[in-house]
Amino acid sequence: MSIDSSLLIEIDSALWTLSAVQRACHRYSGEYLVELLKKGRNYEVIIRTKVGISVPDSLRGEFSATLIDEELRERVTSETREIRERLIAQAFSGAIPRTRPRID
Amino acid sequence: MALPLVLKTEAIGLTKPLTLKAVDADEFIRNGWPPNRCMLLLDQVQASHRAALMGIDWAAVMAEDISSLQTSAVIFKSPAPREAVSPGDVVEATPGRQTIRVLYRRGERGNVLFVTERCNSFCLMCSQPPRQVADDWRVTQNLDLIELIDHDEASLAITGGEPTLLGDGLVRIIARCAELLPQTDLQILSNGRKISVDLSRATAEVKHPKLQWNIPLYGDVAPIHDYVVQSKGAFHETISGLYRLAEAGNRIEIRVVLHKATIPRLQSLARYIYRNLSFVQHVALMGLEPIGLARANREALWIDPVDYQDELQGAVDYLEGKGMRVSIYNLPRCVLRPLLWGYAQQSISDWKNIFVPECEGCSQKGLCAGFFASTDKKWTSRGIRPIGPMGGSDEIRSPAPV
Amino acid sequence: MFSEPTHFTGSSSYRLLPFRFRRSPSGNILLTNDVGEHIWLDNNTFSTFANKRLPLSDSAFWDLESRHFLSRDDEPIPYDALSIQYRTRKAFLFDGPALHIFVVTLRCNHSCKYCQVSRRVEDEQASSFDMTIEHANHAISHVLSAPAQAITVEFQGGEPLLAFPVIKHVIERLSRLAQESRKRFKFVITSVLHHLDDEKLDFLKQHEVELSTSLDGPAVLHNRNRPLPGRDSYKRTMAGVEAARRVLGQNAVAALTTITKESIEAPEQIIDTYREHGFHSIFLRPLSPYGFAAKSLRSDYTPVQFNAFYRRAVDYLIQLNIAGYPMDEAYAALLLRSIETPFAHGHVDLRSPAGAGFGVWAYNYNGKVYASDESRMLAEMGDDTFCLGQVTDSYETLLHSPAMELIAAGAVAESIPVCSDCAFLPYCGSDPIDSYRRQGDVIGHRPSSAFCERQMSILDYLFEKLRAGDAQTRAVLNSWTTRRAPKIEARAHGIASST
Repeated sequence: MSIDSSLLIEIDSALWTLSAVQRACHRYSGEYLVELLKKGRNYEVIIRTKVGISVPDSLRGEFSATLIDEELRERVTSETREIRERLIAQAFSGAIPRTRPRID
Repeated sequence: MALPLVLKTEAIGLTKPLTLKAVDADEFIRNGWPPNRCMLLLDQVQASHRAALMGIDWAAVMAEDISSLQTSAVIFKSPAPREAVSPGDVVEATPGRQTIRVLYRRGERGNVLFVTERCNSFCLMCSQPPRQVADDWRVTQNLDLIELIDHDEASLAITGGEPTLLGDGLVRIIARCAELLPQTDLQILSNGRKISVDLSRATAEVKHPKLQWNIPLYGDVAPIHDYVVQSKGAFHETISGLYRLAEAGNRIEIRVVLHKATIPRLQSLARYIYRNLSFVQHVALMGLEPIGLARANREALWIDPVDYQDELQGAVDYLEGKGMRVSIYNLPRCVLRPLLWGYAQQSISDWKNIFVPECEGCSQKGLCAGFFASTDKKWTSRGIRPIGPMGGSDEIRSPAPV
Repeated sequence: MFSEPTHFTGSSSYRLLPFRFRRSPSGNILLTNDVGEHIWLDNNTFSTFANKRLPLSDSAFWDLESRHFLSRDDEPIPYDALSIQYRTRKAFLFDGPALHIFVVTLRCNHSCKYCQVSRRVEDEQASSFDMTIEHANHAISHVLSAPAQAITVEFQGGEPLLAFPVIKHVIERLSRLAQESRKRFKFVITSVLHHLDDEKLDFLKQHEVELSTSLDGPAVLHNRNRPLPGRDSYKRTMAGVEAARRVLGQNAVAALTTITKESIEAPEQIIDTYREHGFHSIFLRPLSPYGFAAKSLRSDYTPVQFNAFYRRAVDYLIQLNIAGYPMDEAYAALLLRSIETPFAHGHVDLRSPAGAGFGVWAYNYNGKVYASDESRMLAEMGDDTFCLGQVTDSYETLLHSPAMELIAAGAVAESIPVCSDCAFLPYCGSDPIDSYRRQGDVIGHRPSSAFCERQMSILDYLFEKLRAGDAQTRAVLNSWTTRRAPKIEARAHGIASST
């Protein structure tokens, strides 16, 4: 258990994009108070509970896992952005086959 | 009864190809077919009326005893059995052949408009092996044939080969059917690969009230479908064709022939159809016909139907559960689970439909699809057996889960 | 002459198609895409797949291709299949407002603790709380202006039957105009059913009107939630149900619950009550943050408590089905339809873009038009933010009102942080009104959203049942999915709103 009531996570900004870090922080901002700072080459994420108890140390591992997932989401979104935009555009343009689905 | 379509005969005076409506007195008088398109079945005319009828200018006359006939019409000797040509049937005769071919047989299930031998696929189990021939003449022949088909004919299939290779010829055939046979279910059997926007619109615009496209899909991913039809790219072409047909408002049925290549992912295919092709009116899961190219590919194709009942039931349950209409074609009841009997249709064309000795005494014979005439020992299920009398309704449908 | 299967296999290298993912509590990973297809992968397979290194020999490969999660480099990207399915799911967009709510009166004979409408009584002097015929006529012209061909008109209150003449007028006029306007109307009245008589029932039968009522559970529970001087709300409601069924048919009445603190401990009893009275659908609905509920302690239960209640209730319900009594939970049925079919479910409360303003309009008794039922309840509490305008305004004016613009800013879940990455996006929706009320702005903050927490809990629960439930459970859920919607689409409307 952490003796401090807050958890400090240092993140190398060469390895992780700012937006991925922000998104990971955002996910915890419901349950916790989350602060994001830049200290030289690193990002610093400080997580505190809202009710003054200690933050469990397991959160460090959870946050890392979340960060990895957010990075993956960014990559997937970026790789597939054009495809998604085109499928939506095609869905609402007049040019595509207009089928009449059976209505249940 | 499985009467053959190609019949031995003797022809006298046949100088050009003819398409003829077979009539007796009754048929001629009642339906008013023009005599120059007809072949009079002399032996079926009452003796007292023969002289009078022979005075009419027929295109042809058919009789058992042709030796003493006096007529300018073409003469044909009756085939054996005699019923193979009956009033209402349409036959084709070509000079130089010892045979006539029945193009249309009244009252039979499975009458077709055969429009071309050409095909752009080469399916492993093709029952009508394609030939690359110039057979545009078939368009004209079929237009002629349509004029002689009974107006109350229940259903016709347009088949080949691949009908869409006719292009505009196909549209003309459908249009003639819309004009002369609007009450006839018209089913186009097509691989769907060459369905342009123009073609799909043109066929829909003809507005035949009962036109349906029957299109096979053999897998939910390209490698399976392409392998079965032996053509790279066919899957995506067919999917595109399906969407174009749907866009133009055509009615569509998806057909799946059940064999070794299609069974493993059958349920995934059912799901694919439901989610991607939800406009489809009907799904037909079909037993394999062991004829044509299938015979060369037995290793790749044959799986005993009793061994795929799990997959078949899975697909039927899935589609039924989603509210899609589904049927099983060409499979006898003894190899199917009773829960599936309600979906099984008597789908095999009369002229090639047989039962086997084991069927003697089977309680289901009257409702059963039976077998293809081409079935032999190598293509016979080990599950064939007569079914004893059942208690309760024969029509057992798979119960919807509640 | 014939080529082997390997000849047709094609490339093993692939590109990713757009997808979202979620690590489920079970430890597996749920992938979904924009057309609502889903697939489960274990962790290793997922990593390999996401890194574009999944081999053709993997058992998940063909499913990933078939369900449009990957596309091999030598294959065309399935734009037709994807765009057609997408359009199908979003087909409601082309209809505009297809649900029109007529709040025909504020009068009611109850004083329910969680109700946002005033505690008015049923006397005649209170008719100033009824909708005027003139206003009704303006509302009717808006109904006819909406593009949709199939329109649902829902009558609410207060207790709408207290203003029956207005209902009658609207139904008669719309029925007359149906053919020439080329629209089909479905009429629904949400009512406690205490004021039915033969004359009303005959009229309802003639126009095929459907009824929706609240039934919170056993009598004790129901009456505590819905105080009447005679303490007999339950008895009178059930009498109304029976009268309606006698004239209109066995499935004439749909019922929904409102979950209060008392309900939380009693899911089985609530369901049993429904069963005893021959209902085949129940809509379990948590309390809203509107009206008296916001002030009352009785609304005090946490999302965690509700989620546990819901799971217990649906588990019990599934067992009931397996034992032979068909009954669905209406909200689960909606979500399942969204998951297991390619079609839009048509429920305005759960769609993206949001239903508020785009899919539903509510005409208040006082001539004001609101973006939704919740919007007008907010107004009753003093906040008129989501008033589109006056019923006398033109259709275009209402459509382009500042309230609509505000809603639009929070209407598209695909653009909202966290929602835009959520695997449940295709099955969920955005509720800008709810976000505004609870969190202060139309976009809201998902990590602290009770709505979001509840949605995810329910969807986790249903997906787990679909993934790992036994065959009977899955058969029950399938029956909920594809059963024709109960005669009345049980809705999150009525005296209290859904949350």
